[in-house]
Amino acid sequence: MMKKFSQLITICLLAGIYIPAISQTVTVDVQPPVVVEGERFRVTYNVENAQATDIKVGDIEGCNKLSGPGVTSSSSINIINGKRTEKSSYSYSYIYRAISAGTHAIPAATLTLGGKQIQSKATSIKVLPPDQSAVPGTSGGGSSHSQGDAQQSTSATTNNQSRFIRLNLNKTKVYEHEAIECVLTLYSTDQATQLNYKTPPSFDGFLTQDVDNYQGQPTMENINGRNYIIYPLRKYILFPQKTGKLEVSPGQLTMLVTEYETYESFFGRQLIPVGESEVIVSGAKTTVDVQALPHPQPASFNGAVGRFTLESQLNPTSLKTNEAATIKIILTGTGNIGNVRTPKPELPIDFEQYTPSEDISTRVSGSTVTGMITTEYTFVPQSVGKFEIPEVEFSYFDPSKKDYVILTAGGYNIDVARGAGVSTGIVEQEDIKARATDILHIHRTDASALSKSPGRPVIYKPLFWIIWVAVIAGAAAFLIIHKKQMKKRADIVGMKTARAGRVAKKRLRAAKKFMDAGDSDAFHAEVLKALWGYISDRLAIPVADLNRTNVSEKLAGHGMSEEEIAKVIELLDECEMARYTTASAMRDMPEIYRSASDAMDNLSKITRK
Amino acid sequence: MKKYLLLTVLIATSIVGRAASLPEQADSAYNNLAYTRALELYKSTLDSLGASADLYYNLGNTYYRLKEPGRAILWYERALLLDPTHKDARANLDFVNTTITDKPIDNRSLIQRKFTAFVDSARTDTWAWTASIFFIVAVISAVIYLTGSKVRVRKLSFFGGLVSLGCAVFFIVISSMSASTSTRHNEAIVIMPAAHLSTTPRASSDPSTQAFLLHEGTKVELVDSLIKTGENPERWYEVKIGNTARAWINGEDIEII
Repeated sequence: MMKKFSQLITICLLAGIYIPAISQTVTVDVQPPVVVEGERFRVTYNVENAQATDIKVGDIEGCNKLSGPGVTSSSSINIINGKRTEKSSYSYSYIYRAISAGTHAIPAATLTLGGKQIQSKATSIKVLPPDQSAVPGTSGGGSSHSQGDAQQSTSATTNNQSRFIRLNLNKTKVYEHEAIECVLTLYSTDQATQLNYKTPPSFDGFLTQDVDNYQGQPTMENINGRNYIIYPLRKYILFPQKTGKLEVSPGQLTMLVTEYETYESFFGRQLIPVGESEVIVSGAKTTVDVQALPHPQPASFNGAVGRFTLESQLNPTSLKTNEAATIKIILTGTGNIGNVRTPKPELPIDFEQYTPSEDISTRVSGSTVTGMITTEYTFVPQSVGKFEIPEVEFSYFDPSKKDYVILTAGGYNIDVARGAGVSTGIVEQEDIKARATDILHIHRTDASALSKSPGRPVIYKPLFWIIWVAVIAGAAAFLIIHKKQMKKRADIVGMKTARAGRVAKKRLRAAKKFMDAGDSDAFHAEVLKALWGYISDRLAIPVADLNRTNVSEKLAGHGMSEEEIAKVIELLDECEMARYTTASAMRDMPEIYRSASDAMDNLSKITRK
Repeated sequence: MKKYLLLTVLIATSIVGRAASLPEQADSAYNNLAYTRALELYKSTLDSLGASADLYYNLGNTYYRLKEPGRAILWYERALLLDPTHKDARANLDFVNTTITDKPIDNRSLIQRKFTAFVDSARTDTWAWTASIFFIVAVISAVIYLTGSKVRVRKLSFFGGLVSLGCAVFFIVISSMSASTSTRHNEAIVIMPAAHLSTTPRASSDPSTQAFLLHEGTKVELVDSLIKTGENPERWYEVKIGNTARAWINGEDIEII
């Protein structure tokens, strides 16, 4: 009891003295991490700045310890600006031979460092079964190099199965735009030398991001009873751009293969290298099942898939007119950050805005792409007052939650104070800024304007063209009448006779017949009848009531001259006389006929009451 | 008997329409944001009382409020056919055209565009009556020329008449152009959210016969049409977009202006 107590104190004291020793850790390194049955491997315990005084290692199941510990040490002294740093490390290695296939635990070792016991981490070694196609007898022989074994056993037959390339994806069922880690891997039964890319891998329907300086550790694996050395060659991050089953093809590469010949010798069968040849290595396509993003999508969604955070910064927080300020929208996250945009803040109209600057930085981390997009909006408030910048919204699809996430940031209520530089006294006039964001309002539907047959053009209606024809017809009629009138007016005498002749012709038709026949009696009777009839018509007095007196009076009343009246009376007298006397002193018939027509012409001129 | 019945129904509906003043009800429904109701009322106004440019314009607005930009554009276009001078219909049409997916194609030259704007600056009938006035002036001038005696008057009327006749012909041509655009009905609007066009008049199944994709609100010019008879009769139109692109579209995807 007492002893234990004193031990504890000692440990405590020692701990106080050896403070660096407390932080000592032991790292375990198993090289190679995967071996084939019968091969040897080395387990190394590394200790820094301390020397182990005692090492206790446990037995590894299925493995035989061949030797150890082998101690190597190194130390370095750096003097930088007079400051001296000393560094030393010790490593203790044990060599084992793997006896049986399987994954075997390497138990923790206990190292005593400066009287203090420290345990290393427990790890494991993977032991692969021997190659089934390996020629028996050639393996074994403990002295031969382990990888040489593999080489010899399979390279005799350079078939396609001996080496192939494959695109190893970390998942084959993804959402659109979801990141996939893709490693171009060479599987080879022998060591790969002088690799050249013949056909690059094709990723149709994907956006790819090449990972620079990718260093993959070669490992070993037993596939279908054969042991392959696995070389991860290149790493890509893929973002599917289409939905459905997409295929990725690993392309082709060439490598140099050493050819051997089997040689029967005294010692048995031996393989002798006879030359090198270049072989083309290709591989099967891999299918990726890309699912469409679920609907409904948020309004602000623009294709971001992954996990993001959104931040908004307003700088400075107190604003003044004519002083520049910035709003920074910072989007950070993992996923297809290279293809997303930051949401744009809605700045008030009277903030003078400048072209925003955008800064995108992305890098590959693990199986996805991480990055940050910073968009900086610079603006200058132009007027004093209270303004609101609404918050920005960004939404993304989270494949792990299988749902959309909406992020918001910002949202500022700004009080703009009066700044310097506007004391010129001259008001800078501004144009009224109208924004067309909506339709104009309805009109009142006028019931009286509604028509059952709307929009029939008037030129398709006959009435329209009838009007045009009517205009032409009217003009033509006018022209004809006018022409005649002009003709008549051109010859007044002719017109007169024509007019008289027209009346006379009608009235004296019978008289003319008799005149032509030479029947004087009948002629005079007809002239009288016509004259009396015409006078009666003109004066609107019945023939029976007419006599010479009232005819003279009436005609005078109508404004006929005395002379003309006398002529008419005289003609009447003459005709009456001619009927009852056969005096040859009378004027002949054509003369009387002319007088009668003159009289009628004169009578026609009198105005009707 | 049937005829009489129909007539009675027509009269009855028109009487009912007038008594309740359908247009006023429709306007107030729109103003109260009851757009679905407003649409019904405008439609029944159209059926029972007839059409006007304002009614078409209001229908366009109602469809826009109901988030159907394709039909909104259709009714604005119809309003403009009735009355090319309807400024608000043109403004709203231009606005809605900026909100649709497909960018409208305008391949006309500047002169063509200016000329169309000129033709559209008045109604068909206005142009026709203007032509008539010039024609009458021309005829009167001709009469004066033929009957006049003074040399100066005759000279003036000769040239005046010639110019007026030219104007009359010009305006009648303008009027007939405007009339033919408004009665041709050779343009249509895509009313489905997305319409796949094929190179042949049938629904395309393999990618080789898929021509292109049009979205709601796009204006197309009809070139040819074909009616498929059979169990489910279909009508297909060959349409032209821009100057070169031609393809067939299902009649259900479009509505003729």
